[in-house]
Amino acid sequence: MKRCISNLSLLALLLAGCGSSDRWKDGRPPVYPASGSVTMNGQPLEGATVIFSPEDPAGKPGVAITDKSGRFDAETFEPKDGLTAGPHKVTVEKTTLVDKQGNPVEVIREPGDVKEVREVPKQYSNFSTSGLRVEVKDGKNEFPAFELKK
Amino acid sequence: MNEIPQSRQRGFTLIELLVVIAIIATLVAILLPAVQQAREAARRSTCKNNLKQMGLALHNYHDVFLTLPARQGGPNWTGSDPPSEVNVAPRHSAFVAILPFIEQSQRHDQIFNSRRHAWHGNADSGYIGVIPVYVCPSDGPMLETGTDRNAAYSPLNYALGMGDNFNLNTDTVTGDANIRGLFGFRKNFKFSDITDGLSNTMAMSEVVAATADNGLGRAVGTNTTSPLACRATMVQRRYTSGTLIHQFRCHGNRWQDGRPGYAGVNNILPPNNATCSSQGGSGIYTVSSRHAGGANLLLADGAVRFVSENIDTGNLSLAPATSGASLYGVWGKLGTRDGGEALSDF
Repeated sequence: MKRCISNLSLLALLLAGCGSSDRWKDGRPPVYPASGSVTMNGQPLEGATVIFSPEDPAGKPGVAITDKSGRFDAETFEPKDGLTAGPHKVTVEKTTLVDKQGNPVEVIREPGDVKEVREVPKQYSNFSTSGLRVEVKDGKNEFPAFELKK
Repeated sequence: MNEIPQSRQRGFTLIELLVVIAIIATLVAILLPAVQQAREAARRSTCKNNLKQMGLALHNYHDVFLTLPARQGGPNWTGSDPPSEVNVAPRHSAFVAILPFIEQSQRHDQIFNSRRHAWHGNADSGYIGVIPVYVCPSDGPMLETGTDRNAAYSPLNYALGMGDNFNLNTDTVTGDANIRGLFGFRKNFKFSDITDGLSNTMAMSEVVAATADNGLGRAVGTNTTSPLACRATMVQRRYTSGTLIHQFRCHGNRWQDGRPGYAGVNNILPPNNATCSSQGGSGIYTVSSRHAGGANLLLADGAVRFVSENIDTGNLSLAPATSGASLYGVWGKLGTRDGGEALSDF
């Protein structure tokens, strides 16, 4: 019986060795954990999309969505993995979809029936006018809060 | 005097029995997943074969008409009786155009005799029905009925490559200006337009049918012109933010309708990622499949290739290129017909 168990564990080890590596994943630049927060007129902004555009051509762009307290952990390849090193330009966007009466839409049917409403001023959704910039370094990064004003 | 020894009948001990049962259980545990995988492998090869058939159909279409079909085009029929032509955008997809080349000419004739608009649900419209070549069996069966299915059951598990630009259908009169792939609204490209080479350009791909929940296949209506914001709406193949589009207005439906939300994909987000759709216009329409790790593509030369969902997508925070090389990595380069890029192996 002992032998049987040892045989089984050997088999399990063999099966576990069958994982494959992906050359696209192998070629990715390293990422470093990066977090921060977004406020609008001093209040935490929930559900805003923060986009990071690397200035280094070898860098990769990242993205984050803020939670209830306005905080975010940025991701580049996998959820919350961080950002590539170097300076990044930043934009912040938040839009909601409303119907003709101005009520939030739950499920979209006819394409013409919905309108996108901006909840963050337009200047913050453009990399050249947002005025937001971060520097990502090796190790853990905590950015100063992005303080937006309406 | 020989006395016959009283022999007890030889049986199995409990331990022996247990060992035999354990061995059988182990064998079943090893073989059952293998059988399941063999079934999926068979389904996957059917999906690939369908792509190959459509590749042959496109080439035969090109032989006859000296051009590829448009993603969205055809006549401007209304649903009125008698049918009349009005100035609305034509909606026939390329999947209608290639019907005679996949041995569905009767259906093609039925459509052109009934003269209904492309999203018409009447039984005699010719649009309703399952065309086996358009269905990939790896994807589960779709709901056949349900509210808002205004073009009744007509599943489609394949989509046409539009290129690497998300600004689409901006001009409904002269046709799409931003199509850098092979298929656009009122755009008919020739093989001679594909200067990147037929073997370096994606023609079609797989897409999965939208499910009733928030999983892969559905689309959201937000972030249609921001690839990264679009990607952020999906975590582990589930939408966690954004406003969902109705199940029957996403990929997987209406092979007859040429709108990008039904019949198109672009090479922006990698396979098996979020789709951000406006249904008829701009959007990020993403390749998807139920195969592990990626999706099958049809290249313009008729070859079928599997591509990883981790493929390089360059810098998605940049605005899409309108000419020259794609900024969206190997994936974007694969989508353009005349970007002039040198494509490394993918």
